[in-house]
Amino acid sequence: MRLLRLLLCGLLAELLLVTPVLADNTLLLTQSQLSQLQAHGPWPPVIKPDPSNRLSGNAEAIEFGRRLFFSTRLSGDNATSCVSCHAPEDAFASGRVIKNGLLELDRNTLSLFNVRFNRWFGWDGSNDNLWAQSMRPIVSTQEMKLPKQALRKVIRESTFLRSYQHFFGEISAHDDDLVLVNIAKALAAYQETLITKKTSFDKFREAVANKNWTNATQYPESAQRGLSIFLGKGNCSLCHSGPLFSNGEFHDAGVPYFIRPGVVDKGRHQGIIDLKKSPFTLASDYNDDLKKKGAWAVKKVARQHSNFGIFRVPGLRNVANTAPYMHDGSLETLEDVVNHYSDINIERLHADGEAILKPLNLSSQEVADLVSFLQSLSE
Amino acid sequence: MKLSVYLTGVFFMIYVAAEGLSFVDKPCEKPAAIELNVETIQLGEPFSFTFSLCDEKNSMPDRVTANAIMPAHQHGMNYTPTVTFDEDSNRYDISDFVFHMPGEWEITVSTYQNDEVTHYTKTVVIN
Repeated sequence: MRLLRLLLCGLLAELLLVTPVLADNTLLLTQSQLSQLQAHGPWPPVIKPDPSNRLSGNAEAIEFGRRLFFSTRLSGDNATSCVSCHAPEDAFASGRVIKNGLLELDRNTLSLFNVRFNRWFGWDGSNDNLWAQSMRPIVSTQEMKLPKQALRKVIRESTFLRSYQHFFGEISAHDDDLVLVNIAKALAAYQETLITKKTSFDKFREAVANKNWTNATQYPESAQRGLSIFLGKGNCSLCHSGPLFSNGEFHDAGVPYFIRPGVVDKGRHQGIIDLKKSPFTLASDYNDDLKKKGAWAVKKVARQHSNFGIFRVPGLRNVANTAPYMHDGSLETLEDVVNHYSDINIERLHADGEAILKPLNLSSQEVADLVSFLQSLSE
Repeated sequence: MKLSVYLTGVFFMIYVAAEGLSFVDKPCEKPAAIELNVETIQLGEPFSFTFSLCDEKNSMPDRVTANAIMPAHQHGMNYTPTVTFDEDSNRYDISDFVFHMPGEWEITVSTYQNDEVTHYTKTVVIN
């Protein structure tokens, strides 16, 4: 009897020591969904330098780019910098209204986080590389308003001259376009470093991949239910695919493309026109990659009628921190976005466009769950 | 409306004139085939495959075109494929295909000879 008591005590002690403390959550996803969600990682992806930009990955160049990014010298009024619209404390994003309420743009300002992973840049994809995209706001007559002809003088008369000539040589030997491209490449080198960290979703994904079910059940059940909708009846992952939660292409999200009476935002349609006219694509001689590997996209992109009024699918990482939403910033909250898709009016979609979106008729609980999942993609 | 647009889309072809090329006189080894390894297709990345055409008359088509659609979504690709004829292999090299969404894609290769057109299709599923 005494021996039996000793054995029972030993067994109890062993159970207390080795039994893992299980979280209160349970695993709600099916085996198929657990497999499907692996496509949304790993995060971060493997980082490779951009061959089109000789400054990519260079620590000194990144610092040069950072100084440029935060400087107001790249503006016509010497009062605007990249940070004016892409402030770090605002997830490097803002809405349509910029410059402390002084200016309203036609489009929502995209976050610069994870921008290095894009194939197309801007809502309309009018650029196929980050340095060309970085030039645009500098010379824009709405935004930083610095003509390219004035940039050389700005650099010459600033503390940037030494860095410029260190990386690119004598500035007086460069024409206005080349000076602008070079400055933009430094800016791009800095922006490439803006990458979001792993989130609770990534930890969940890794736990599932490693079959660590204890850790997997740390992931909130509401986020799991939301993920189930995202992968399943929501069809969100069709466009918001891969580790970036974006396929990088252009789709009709049922958001009107009328900016104001008489003015239409043509979206990708105009974007391709502008792209094909641009002297700064990956097919140009400004591309530092002699093989021009990335140039296939600008050469082969097809201009189609259905491109009219459609916009690039933004990535969803950090989405909880980048309100407002959609190309025109018309939706204030993530709940608004989910409700937009839940109640979508398919009559507003292109007649000759894709047939993907349909009303989801989500319950309020399902909306909350989907929002919970989207929040788990944010730091 | 959507059906007619869909059918128009299926028959909308991108082509490259194969000037100055001729079929090498080889016996037919197997019927016409779209030859690709699905495992090599990465979502959102360009890929290539070959198309072999075995014609009893051993005559070359006037032109060959290639395209793909997602039947469930009624849309095609965003990039214009390239079709070239490789004399060494006696096959058509088809490149610059990009599947930007997961799901079922239907590839169609069409050959045009005078007034005749023949369509060859292959369905692939991308995860």
